[in-house]
Amino acid sequence: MNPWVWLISAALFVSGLCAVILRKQLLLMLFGLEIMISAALIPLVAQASAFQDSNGLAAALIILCVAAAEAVVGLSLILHLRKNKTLPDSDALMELKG
Amino acid sequence: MGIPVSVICLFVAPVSALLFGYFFLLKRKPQWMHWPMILSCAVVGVAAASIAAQVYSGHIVDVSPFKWMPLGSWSISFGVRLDGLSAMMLCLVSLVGGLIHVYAGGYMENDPAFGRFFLAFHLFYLSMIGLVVANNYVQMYLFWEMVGLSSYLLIGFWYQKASARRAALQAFFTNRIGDIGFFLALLILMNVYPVAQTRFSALFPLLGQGSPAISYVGWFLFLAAIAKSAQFPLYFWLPDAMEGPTPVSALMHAATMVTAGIFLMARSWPLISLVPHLPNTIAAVGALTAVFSGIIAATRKDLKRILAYSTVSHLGIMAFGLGLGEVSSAVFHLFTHGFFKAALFLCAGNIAHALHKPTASVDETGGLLKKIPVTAVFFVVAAFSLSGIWPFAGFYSKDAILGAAFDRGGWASVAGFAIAFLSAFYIFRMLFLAFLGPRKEQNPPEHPHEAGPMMNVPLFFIVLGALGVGWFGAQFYHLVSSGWLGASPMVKIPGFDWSSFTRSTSMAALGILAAYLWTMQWPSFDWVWRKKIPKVEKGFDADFGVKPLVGALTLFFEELSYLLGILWDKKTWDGWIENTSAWAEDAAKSVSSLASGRLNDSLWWILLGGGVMLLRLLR
Amino acid sequence: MTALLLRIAPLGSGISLFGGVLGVACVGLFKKINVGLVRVLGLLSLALAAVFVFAHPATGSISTLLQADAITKAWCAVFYVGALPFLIAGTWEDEVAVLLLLGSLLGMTFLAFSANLLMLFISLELLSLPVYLLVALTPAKGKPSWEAAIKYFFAGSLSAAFFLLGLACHYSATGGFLFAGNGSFLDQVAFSLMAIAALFKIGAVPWHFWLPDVYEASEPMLSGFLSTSVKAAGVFLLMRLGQYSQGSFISLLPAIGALTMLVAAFAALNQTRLQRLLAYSSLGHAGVLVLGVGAWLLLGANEKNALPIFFYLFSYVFMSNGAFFFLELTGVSEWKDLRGLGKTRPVLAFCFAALALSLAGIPPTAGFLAKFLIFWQAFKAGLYVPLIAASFATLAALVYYLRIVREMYLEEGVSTSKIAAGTGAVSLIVSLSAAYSAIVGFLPWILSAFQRVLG
Repeated sequence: MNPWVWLISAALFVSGLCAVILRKQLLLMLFGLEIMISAALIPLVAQASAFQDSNGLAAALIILCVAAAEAVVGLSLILHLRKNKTLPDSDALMELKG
Repeated sequence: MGIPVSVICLFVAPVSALLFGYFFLLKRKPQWMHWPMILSCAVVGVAAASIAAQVYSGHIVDVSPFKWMPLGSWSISFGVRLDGLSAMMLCLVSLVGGLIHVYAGGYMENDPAFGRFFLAFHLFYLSMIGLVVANNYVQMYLFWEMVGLSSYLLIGFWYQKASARRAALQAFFTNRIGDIGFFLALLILMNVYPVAQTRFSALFPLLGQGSPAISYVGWFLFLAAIAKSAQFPLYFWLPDAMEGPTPVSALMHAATMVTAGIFLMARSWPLISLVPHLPNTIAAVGALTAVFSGIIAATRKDLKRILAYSTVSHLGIMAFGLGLGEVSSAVFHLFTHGFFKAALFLCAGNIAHALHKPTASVDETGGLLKKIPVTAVFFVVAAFSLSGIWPFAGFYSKDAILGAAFDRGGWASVAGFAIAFLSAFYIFRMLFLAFLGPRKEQNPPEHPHEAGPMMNVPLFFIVLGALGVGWFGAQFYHLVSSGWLGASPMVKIPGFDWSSFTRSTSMAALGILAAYLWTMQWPSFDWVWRKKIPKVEKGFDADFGVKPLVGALTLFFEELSYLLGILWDKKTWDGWIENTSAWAEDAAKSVSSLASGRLNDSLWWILLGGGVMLLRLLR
Repeated sequence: MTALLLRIAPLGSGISLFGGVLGVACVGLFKKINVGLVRVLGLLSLALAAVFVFAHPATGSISTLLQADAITKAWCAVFYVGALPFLIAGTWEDEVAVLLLLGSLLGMTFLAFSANLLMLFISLELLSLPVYLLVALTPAKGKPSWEAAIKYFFAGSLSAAFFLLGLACHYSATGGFLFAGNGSFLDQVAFSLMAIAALFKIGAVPWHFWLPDVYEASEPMLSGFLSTSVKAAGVFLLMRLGQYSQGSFISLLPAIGALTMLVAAFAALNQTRLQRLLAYSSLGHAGVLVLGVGAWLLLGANEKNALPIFFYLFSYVFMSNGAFFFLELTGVSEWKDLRGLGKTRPVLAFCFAALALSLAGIPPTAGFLAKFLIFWQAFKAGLYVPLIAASFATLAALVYYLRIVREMYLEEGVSTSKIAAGTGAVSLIVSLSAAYSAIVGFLPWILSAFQRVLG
């Protein structure tokens, strides 16, 4: 399989990872998660076409649905915490510690 | 099933007494708590007597009716083994235990937590019974743990006192060290001999000569005994355990609980005797313990502490005898010691009771002979028994062990001499200071009076035992040796031997004379050296520095208890451990502070963990 | 015929659980929601699902996605029993909690029936997403449950993303989604990545930071469900992955387990709030489970050897639910609230003491037996150093467990606990759990039941 696929996927995955870990805005972190998921799917799809295996493609679609569901849950959690149309930072969620 | 009725009584009586007491009496009538317990003791006593009669006539019972863990190849069954050793221990526990229950009924009369005391006390009684009749190591271990737990509850009974809480925790954790040893021994036994299921009767015939696994088992069991029976260097919890009420000290830390370690070794003797160097080590440790704590006992001021160190010393004598191969003599000494030491503790309790205090020191006593003559007589009898003077009970058992020591020669002989001298010295020092001599106290309490019949009558019977049980050496041996599982029969209790008699008695007499001179001739000499060389007294107080060295273990656990907010007693050696207590607190705080509450931090950690997992693959 | 029956099991349970979801949603359409009806519906659908799961006789492959294993029934038992207390005794204002719970149980059922990694992923997400929402929607009094839910969500989704990457790598390495690995380097990377998600679910260090927050901020009864069924799901995942991974991350498991126990023991010493303390205690138990799974894998990963893990999880269901439900029942939140309980409510105090001692692993409780079996297996697997660390952690943890007993019985003070009316179900659960903890240590008949199931 074309090594470029892995490289692109890795780049996307890492950038998604950076978004999740390094950013404080919750919405951006959610974006990062979605990017990571999509990045993980790229090799899946590429490999499926290399193997001529439709199972892989079907799997990619199913996983995409799951990712969408996850996004729904995530969005609802994030949106619940908004105050006057602004979303909190992750640093504001420090009440539980120790 | 085949469980004898007596065994059923052994367990049903205490359990029902405990349940009845907890659910009915504790809230409504706690002051009657001792009656169901005493009744249960009586039932157990009758059962024990019938079991002893049965075993004496040669009828051994070893049944395992309850399949506990049916795990195919290794399953543990619970059952009982009624043979000589267990019958003897049952008699000791039930007799002395029952009498002390009655004594405690009088002693703890005015204590507000009377009900809780008897519940914990009887729980201990039940645990001890379970321990001695167990027929396999797993069951014994379970009851061993229960004994440790009830010890914790009883030492820390007056938990309002910080020193009591600390002593309880210290005892618990020191015993834990031994428990780990016991547990590891269990694991090895179950791994190496699964078919025996750790049952004594099945296991001992399987043992070959000195296989490495058995060596580990033997040393681990010895570790367990060191912790539980207060051998050097894990003895220091016993003197501090005197924080508990006197009946607790009399029953647990004189007659029964601390002897559990010796009992374990006696039970395991067929195994221990096969391990190279172990019996000699046991003898050496026992002798060292005996002499070391004998010296310390001679310098203590608190009555109960003197007796505590004396107990440590006598446990050392028992271990000494065991290590020399004299199993029956060591066990005989366990038996007689149970009587005379319990008697001494109860007399100390009487003295404290007379002075209206929870415990007494030699500074406050003196001249009590006229005031509490009955207690004085009891004390004298028990003291003679402890010193091993003929014809008191202690003579027979101690002389048997010392005889073997003298025969061994060399260091054992020297230790024997020292032991004979020291035990007489410290107990008669205590006797002279407490009962004779002038009153030294500034403000004597009004009317030091004799204790009531509820306390003195059981004490009388125990003293009778301290006087006379030694005369039944042959019968004792016959009882103890029935059902012996060792490859060779149990060594007989040696008969009367003039040379050892002269040697031990002369050393004892020398000890009594020295005590007399020490305390009476120059009545203040016992005081003078303390005032003149306080550094030496401090050294004795810290057990010659053993405490700081060995205490490192207890220190760590004491730091943990510090985290629970228990206050420290400021003793001289506490200074440098305060730094280490900060260590434990810092550790907890730093681990806890890792959970900073920041989301991104936790995500970093996830990444880090993942990185470690992946890096592992590169190896 | 057997093929048909095999199909019925997951389908039937899935349909009944999903039917329960729909039914509860329907009840929710009314203005005034009858919570009792919701509860009955939930219990009915769970019961029906259980019937379908346990009634099927055979094992075998059902389709590419589903299979029925010898241990599937046992796992379903653990999942369902873990959720049962919350269903029986939970108090809700509307139907959402039960809806989400049934959805999560649906995911768990399919998890147990999974035949390949894709199904595993779907089930994992199916069981996790409702749980995130459930945590948000059932706060403990005055606690920020939404904050906890967000932390849980992000950490969980990050782990799921790693799982996905692993899945993609595995597909690339083996050309399919089947469990069996082929030992190549890519495949090993794949399994390690997937294991991250499993370890996260269990709460192993260093993926554990969500655990105390989530357990503290949720209503205690929900924490009971989280600490048992959800953790069991994680254990199942780890066991499955480890079984087929051919060695990639297995050697790390004992160290992770021991480390988790140590972290839990030390962090717990610093806690003043009881619910957070129980959370760290739960973390400690997670460590024991990871150690147990590591030992199981090292000993050859066959079903017979899995008995200690099952027994531990099953007993843990009782112990943990009991402890959390006790907190719910008495409303105690700090150490000082426990004082005097020994006198004012001796039976309740005895129950909690039994549970605390069982959690600590003191004989003769069920907790001791469970821990002993796992440690014994670790000993057989040769994991001596982790065992020593684990014993040390157990010893250190004793401090706060004994403190529970001490505060209840020996400390003077008046307990501020008030037991609300209508909490019969909760106290029933507390007492049942305490009874289990106290009695099963003596009579572990349940062990033989599991043994028969596992063959």
